[in-house]
Amino acid sequence: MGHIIDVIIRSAESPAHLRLPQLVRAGGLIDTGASDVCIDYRIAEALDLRRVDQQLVGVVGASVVASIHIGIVEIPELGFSEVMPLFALKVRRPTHDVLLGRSLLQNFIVTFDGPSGLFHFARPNFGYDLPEFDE
Amino acid sequence: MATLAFTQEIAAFERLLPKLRSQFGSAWAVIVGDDCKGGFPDFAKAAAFAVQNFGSAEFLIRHTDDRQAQIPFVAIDDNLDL
Repeated sequence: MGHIIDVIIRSAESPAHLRLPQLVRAGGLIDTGASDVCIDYRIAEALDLRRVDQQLVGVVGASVVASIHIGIVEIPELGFSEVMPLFALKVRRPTHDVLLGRSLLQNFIVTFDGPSGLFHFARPNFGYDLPEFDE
Repeated sequence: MATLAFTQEIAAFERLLPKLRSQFGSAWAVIVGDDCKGGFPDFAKAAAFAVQNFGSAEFLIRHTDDRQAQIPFVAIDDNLDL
C-alpha cells in the first residue's frame, strides 16, 4: 500500500444518545518520525472523544501542549482495530487528518519498497516464521 | 494559551510515580483526583477500566515510563486554543 491509508476513528464510548457521528473516515499518513497517532482536533471534537491527559509534544521548532483522547483506530485494509491514545493538535493547514506514528506501527513489521513507493505490513509472528528444512 | 486541565491528577501522578513504578512497573496508570485506581499493561485495558468505573468523572491515564512525545513535522496554529 502507499504512504496514505484509509483510517476510521471511532469513540470508545457509546455516544448514540448524544446524536454525534459514530465515526470519521480519514486518510492516515504513515509517519515513522511521529511517536504517536496524531489527529486533527476537529476529529476529537466531532466524535466527542474523551480527554484523558495533556502533554508537551515536540513539533517543528517548539513544544506545544497536546490534548490526549481515547479513541478506536481501525484500518480495514490491515484488519486492525485498537483502542489507543490519540494526540489532538491544532495543525496549521493540515494536509492529512491523521498521522500514523510508531505507537500504531509497533503492531506491525513495516518495510518500505523504495522503487515502487509501497509499504508492506506484516504482523509479527505471521509470515516471518523460519523456513523448515528438509533433512 | 492552551487550556490547562488535569492539574490535580497530574500532581498526584508525579507524587505517586515512584510507588506506581514499584507496584506496576512499566504500565498505564489510572488517576482519579489524588488517587491511583489501577495500573494496566496496555492502554486499552486502562481505558476500559476507567470508563467503566469512573465514566462520569475526570480521570487521567498516563504511562509510568518517561517519554517525550514527538510529532516533528507538524506546524501548530498559534491562534487556536485546545
